[in-house]
Amino acid sequence: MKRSWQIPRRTFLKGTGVSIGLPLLNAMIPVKARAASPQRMLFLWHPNGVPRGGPDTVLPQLDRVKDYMTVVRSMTHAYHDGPPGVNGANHCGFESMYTGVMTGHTPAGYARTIDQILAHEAPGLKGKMLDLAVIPELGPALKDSSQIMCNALSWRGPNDPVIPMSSPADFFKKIFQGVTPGAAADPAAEQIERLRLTEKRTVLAGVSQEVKSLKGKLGAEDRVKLDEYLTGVEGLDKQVTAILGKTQIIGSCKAPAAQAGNDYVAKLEALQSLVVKAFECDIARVISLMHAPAAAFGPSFGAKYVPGFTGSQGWHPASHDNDAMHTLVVQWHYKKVEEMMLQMKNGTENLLESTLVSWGTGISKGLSHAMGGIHNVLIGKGGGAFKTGQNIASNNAPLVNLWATVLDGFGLKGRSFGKGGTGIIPGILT
Amino acid sequence: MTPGGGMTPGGGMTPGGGMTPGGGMTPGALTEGRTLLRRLNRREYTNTVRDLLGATNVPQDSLPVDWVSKGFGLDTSADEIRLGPDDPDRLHDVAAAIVKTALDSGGAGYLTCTPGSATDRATCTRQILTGFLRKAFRRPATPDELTRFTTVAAGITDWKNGIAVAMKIALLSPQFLFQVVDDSAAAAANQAQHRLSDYELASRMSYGLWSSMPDETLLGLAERKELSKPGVLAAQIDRMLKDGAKTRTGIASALPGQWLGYNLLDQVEKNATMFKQFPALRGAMKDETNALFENVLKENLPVDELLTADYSFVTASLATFYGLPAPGGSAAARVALNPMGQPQRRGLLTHGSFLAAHSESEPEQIRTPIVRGEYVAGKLACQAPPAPGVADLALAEKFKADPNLTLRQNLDNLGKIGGSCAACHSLFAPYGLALENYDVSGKWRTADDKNRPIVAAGVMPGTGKPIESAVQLAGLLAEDTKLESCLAGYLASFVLGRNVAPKDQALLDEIVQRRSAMGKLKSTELVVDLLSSDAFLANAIGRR
Repeated sequence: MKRSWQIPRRTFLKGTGVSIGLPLLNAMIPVKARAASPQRMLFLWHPNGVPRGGPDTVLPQLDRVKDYMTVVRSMTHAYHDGPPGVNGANHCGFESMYTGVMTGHTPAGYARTIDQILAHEAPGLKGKMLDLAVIPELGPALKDSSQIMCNALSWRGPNDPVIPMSSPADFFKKIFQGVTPGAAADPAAEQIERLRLTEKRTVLAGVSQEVKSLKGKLGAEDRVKLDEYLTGVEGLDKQVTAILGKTQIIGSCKAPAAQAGNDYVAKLEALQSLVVKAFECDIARVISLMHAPAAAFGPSFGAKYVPGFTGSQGWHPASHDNDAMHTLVVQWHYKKVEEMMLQMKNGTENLLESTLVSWGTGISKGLSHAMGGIHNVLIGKGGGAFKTGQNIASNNAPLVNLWATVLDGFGLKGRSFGKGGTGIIPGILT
Repeated sequence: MTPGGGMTPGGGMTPGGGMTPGGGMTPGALTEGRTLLRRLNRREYTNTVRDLLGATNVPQDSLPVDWVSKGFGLDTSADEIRLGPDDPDRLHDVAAAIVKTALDSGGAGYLTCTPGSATDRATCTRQILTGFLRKAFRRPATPDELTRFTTVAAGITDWKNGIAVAMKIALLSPQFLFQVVDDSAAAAANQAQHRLSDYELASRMSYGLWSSMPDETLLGLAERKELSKPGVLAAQIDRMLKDGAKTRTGIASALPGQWLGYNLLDQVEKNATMFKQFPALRGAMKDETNALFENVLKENLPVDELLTADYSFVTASLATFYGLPAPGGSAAARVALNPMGQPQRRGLLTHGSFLAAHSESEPEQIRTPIVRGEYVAGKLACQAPPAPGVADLALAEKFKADPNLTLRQNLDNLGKIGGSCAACHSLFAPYGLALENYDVSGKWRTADDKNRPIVAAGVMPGTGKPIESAVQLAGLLAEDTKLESCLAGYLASFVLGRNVAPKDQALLDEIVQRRSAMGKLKSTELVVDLLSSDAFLANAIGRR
């Protein structure tokens, strides 16, 4: 179906020659036409499962956005990443959560994750910045298991993780380059930025040439690594070229100031705001944010920032031994999600209308790493494609059915995902 | 022992964790005995721009992440550390800042001319870039490269800015970012391996020992094709190991920390009310073990002195923590360990770094002697216990430690839950229990929390010799050549940038046996033998 009203933002800006914020542009799109067409997807994840009392011990933390929520309960996670009954093997519980396959806990065992499928295939999501994955703090090495697998939620495919960014400053730079904060239409600043980017292109062109001249000399194994680099360099060159093609570089979307702050909470809050802003400015349409690395070993998680947390063991040990403290930590993280959802709701545009958010964890209860009784909170109307304000008892539906439902809602009905699926979960889609 | 997966060092607790053959990030099996194209890791990049352009304060967060997961888990592992799609942008900005700072403050010695009446712009640019690229690429630039770089520079209106652009391209070139080994000629001639050129050897040596670029001496020897001559090579290794300032930011700080697992000590925390002194001591503890390692390398001491050293390098506050007379001044100084009476400490086994890194945050946890014991068995005795099976883990899940019993009693009971637990615990528990005289922060103690006396005695796994104390255990471990084998494996993996292949292992065993037969294996001998070997001087040819 051809939709003539979908004017690419860049074309539009070129035509008018003025700086314009995206919210205004969105306002120009007939609301009716956007209905039932989800525009954004956000994946939020936390480690360690929920308290022993189940999801109801933490869900009240989201009360202020409950009208926008669908809680999908008691799903089963058939394909987790280790032999059944072995604790420790499934610390990186999202391995199979978002791939729908048994990874065997090796990078080669991965499949393309749900967020990547959406970003590359869903009709309303394509053509925006890809591979946006953030985590406020990377986890220390888990003994003899892979750091990558416990820190990367988003995978393009086997052996190909999206390395998440943990520095708000870097994330800011990535999403807002070309929309430098500052007063719109400052000709001097505009000129300086143009020169800087033009020179950057010269450098990148030189680098491409150097990579290519080396490539011929190397064997196949080494060429793989050079190709990765070349892909990155060429991708960057495209980005810079696209920015230079704009009539106006500075001030086309009101970017927040670069975020500082080094402690965990400051970083999480900064990343949350930047994610919201990236959606508002329509820079990205799919983003994943992990609240903490899988297992979140180490006392810096939980103990440091959750008021009332006693003991110095950290979140993960508490999930096994100290349910009261574990409950406090999970509640804290739920509260943070509520804050973020309110930001999305109360910004220049109510993003919860057009967006679908998935908030969940890879195991049900931290104590046993159980793979049954998993719940996931869907937040947002997804452009009207998703029902809200309800609880769904999935009756032990496989978790992959949830993603089949999401794919359907995003216009990819029948797109196969993972293994063991039995269809969509009824009651979620409008 | 699987090709591609490499030998398993240390071993571990997590089934299914990391050691899968072919589980690397590069598709397809890797050619055995081949170091892949190796990116400079964060430490190497930082040291290199320091030595190349005098750069300081390089933002570490903006450099590519050095993910390592498999095998020896060292940050020099060439098949694992990669570049992500966002890295070019970040590296560009880092390079831009470094070049700007260097050129704004005099040019770091590279601006040897300015275009004027004596030298025209093209000649001057060529002269400057010839000098710079020789350092940045760790070999002279080829005529083609020089033409490319001078052409780009000539295309920029401002002369100095042209130099800056060329320098930025150089810092983003794979010839700078990677340790390039050009094996195309050997591959074309169908040879099994490529003999490193003298320049490639200079880089491998300097990154192996200094985690940085070759200095002028190494480049000069490479230019004269003298570096690979055996006498020259050995003399250079000796010189490099004696350069404490360079090894301190290289192998002496990077290898022991990763081998013994205290590199993450900054992230280790202890019960804040009970171990108030600990947070302020982390840095001094790491420095202590690094300094011992540096000293053993610098002074060409026997490798087992790492375990038996009756001296250490401590700050005043760490000395006080250890119950030693505090040295004057704020810097760490060499002190004798317990010159009078019964010694409480000897060597790295009794260093705060090792003890605190492998302990729980709370006292009297059963996991502390287990984890410590596993580390000693795997990393110092080179006999990692097998990972527990599924059935054993299920049994262990149900086990609850009794707070009224001592740790030793609880650990004994854990061994008795059935399965193969008891047999396996005897392989590492005695080591962990022998270290019970040190609390989770590494402080000496003679009684536990409930004031029950600590019993450190036990039976040494393998040899069956009686263990009396941690210090005596250090002596027992030093008597064996297992420590040498363990260290040789990590050293080889570190300098080669890959896991140890079966063929390499045979070489390492040969070195350790031959040298030990002649007396104690000394540090320089180990490094010289390894760096003079085929494994180091050549690289297997990979698939084309």
